[in-house]
Amino acid sequence: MYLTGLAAGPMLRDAVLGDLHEQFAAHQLSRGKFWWQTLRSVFWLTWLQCTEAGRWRCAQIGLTASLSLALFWLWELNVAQAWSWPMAKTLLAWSPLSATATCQTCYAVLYVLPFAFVAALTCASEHQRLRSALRMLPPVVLLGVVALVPVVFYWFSPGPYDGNKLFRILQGALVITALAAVAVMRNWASKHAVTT
Amino acid sequence: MGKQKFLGEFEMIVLAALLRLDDDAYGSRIIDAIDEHADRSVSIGALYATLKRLEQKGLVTVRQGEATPVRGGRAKRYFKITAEGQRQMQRSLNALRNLLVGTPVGAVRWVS
Repeated sequence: MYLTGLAAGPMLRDAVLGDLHEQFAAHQLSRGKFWWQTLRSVFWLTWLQCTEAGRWRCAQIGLTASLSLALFWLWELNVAQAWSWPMAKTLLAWSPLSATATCQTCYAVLYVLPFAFVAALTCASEHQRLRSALRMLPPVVLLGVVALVPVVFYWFSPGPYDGNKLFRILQGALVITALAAVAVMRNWASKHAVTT
Repeated sequence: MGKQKFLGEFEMIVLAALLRLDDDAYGSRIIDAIDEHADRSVSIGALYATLKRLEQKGLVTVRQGEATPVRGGRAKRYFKITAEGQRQMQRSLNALRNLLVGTPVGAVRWVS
């Protein structure tokens, strides 16, 4: 009897691993290729068995992590390690905290904010409160501003990494891509939110 | 008139492999068939992702098969093209043929 739906996770896993095993047994795969294919299959199996919401959440987590990593990267390179630069200098001069504490606070704010926003948005979408692109706009814009400040600063400030244009472009592109993807996903989520 | 959906290239290749293999179409065999007849190496993951998409479109059905020792005791998963799958494949092939017929450089030869 033909089944409909590939919902049964273990059955699909068995089929994929069985196919790999069979190919390996038939010497169609070397041991290295067998393990490489197995690893790739694990990714695909996870992806296939994820629900739409699960995929969206995974993507969100990944994007948030990459965005945070980008911010961390930018912050470490721009301010924490080269704090004689104008922005860091001004910030450190104004801050009542020690240089280390100021740097750490800035880092924490930059790091936590994207997380907080995405967490809040996820929570909101799960409660079916996100129904329009308009509602997601302020947090995304805010997130964008927060994320782009170091990028813009970096772009126009002299620094030890000036010579490497590609390095800067990659950093900027990473943050912008992550933000665009978050925005797209937000849009998707708002369109697919179940009306209660 | 509603917009018709056409199959992607890899979807057509997979469906063609299912037609070729008939009742013996499961992962490993499908990969072998594509490799042998379409000269294209395919990863298992990409294949299953496509099969799932085809199944969701109603172009493929799936049934659980037997477990064999050569598969480490794991069961096979057989796939079969549906009537709708065959119709869509025909439509996509027709579209391709219609586009090619009448073009220069002897394109007609490819589709005849």
